[in-house]
Amino acid sequence: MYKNKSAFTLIELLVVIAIIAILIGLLLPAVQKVREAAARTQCTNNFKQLGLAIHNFESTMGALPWHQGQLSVVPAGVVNYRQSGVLLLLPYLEQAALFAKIEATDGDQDPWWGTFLNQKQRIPGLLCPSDPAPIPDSNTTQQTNYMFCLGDSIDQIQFARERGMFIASQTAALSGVRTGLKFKDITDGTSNTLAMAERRRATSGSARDMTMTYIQAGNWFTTPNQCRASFDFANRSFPAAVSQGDLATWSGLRWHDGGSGFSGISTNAAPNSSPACCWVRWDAGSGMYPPSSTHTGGIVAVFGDASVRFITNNIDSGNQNANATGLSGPSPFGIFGAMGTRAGEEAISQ
Amino acid sequence: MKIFIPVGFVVTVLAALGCGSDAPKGPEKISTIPVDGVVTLNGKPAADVSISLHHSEGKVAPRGMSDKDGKFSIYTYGKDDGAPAGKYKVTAAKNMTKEISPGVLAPPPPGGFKSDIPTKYESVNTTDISVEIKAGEKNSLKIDLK
Repeated sequence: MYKNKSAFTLIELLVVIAIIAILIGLLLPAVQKVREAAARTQCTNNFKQLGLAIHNFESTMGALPWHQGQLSVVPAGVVNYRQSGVLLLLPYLEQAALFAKIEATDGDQDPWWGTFLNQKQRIPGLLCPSDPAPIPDSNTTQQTNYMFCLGDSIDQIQFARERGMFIASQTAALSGVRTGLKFKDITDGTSNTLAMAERRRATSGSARDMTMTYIQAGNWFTTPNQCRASFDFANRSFPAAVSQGDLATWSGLRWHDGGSGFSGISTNAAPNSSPACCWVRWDAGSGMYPPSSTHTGGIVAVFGDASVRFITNNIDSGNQNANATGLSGPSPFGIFGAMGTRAGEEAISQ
Repeated sequence: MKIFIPVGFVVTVLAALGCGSDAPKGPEKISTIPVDGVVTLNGKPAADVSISLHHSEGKVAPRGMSDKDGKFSIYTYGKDDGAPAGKYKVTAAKNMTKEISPGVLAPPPPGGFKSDIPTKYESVNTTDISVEIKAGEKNSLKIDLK
């Protein structure tokens, strides 16, 4: 008599479970996308704050900050002036108290020593929430994702070919001046010139991925493709022939360090298209520092007029076999190269 | 139980679609010819010298590092794979920076790093060494720095 009583068979139960599994399968990627969209919005907001801070700095000081310098006067004969321009922006990022502390104790300290006391101070607005690199413990040196644009050359530091919106000025450091270029120097127009963009933070000393910086003695490369050919894109890692000692963990590792390897970007290769390469084996050295992120399809950046825009990985980056040393005039690196220069006389249309 | 196979498949495909990434592609690879050689400074073998070959087309940067006998092997994409055929300018430099604590490189002294290798060999604009890598031959370079 139980035969006619309706009940679920095992197969029917399994089918129901399968349908639920498919629905969850549909939902999960959507949730991931929403999470990333939220992270990108926060990243965009961080950039907006930095863009506004640059403008407020300019309104107060009459000029832009340097990207690399020192808060106190550099004594004659000392060549180190490596503090980051982000320090100058602190009062305009609602961190006036921290700025006062740094001025009092760290103004003359080199950022690579433990004697720079406030390097353990985390600035949440300098970290992109999309970056998978772990955020360091609160008792160690803190990091940054947001980098100053140094232009499209790979000779930026040693030969003063910083064609971007920010410069490292030893003259300023020797006289204790806390400003770099002025808005009138940006003849391409502030809305056409990149101010800051993001780079993924390097994860650990033993990683061989694209967040590492390849360093080698001598002027070993002159074009973007020479740097790019040193990375094995098929395996997404540096080839075994590149020794671990030639891979530097620099990108974003010290938020207060103005050295180009730590907090600079160059616009000679499209976002996420290349590892970083440095040709002087020194951590504030000239080289190629392309922007990178884990946002889908590109990077977030702030321009000279404080507008925040998304730059896709497919942006035109011109002739990647062109020499990136000793540049003058228009950039050979397409629209992206043109965005990086302050006075390249290129017309940009997107 | 067969029903699980299509379900697993569908979930995997959806997950792959949802998290798809546009991995960057590197520059086009060019076939290479094995190259080795020896580098000397004033006639004596020079150790720990970075040798870089610069092609005028700017597509690759074949390079090598000399051992204690001054011998080196050039690679472009992987270990000992050599360099594409063609004419190259050669730059040579020594690594002068020291790690003073893990991850911390010593800053340059006033006036910059001093190396026993003349600085003219560091830059492609000032070096006077050029070599030709020929296809179908054993390429052994003799680089004498003065």
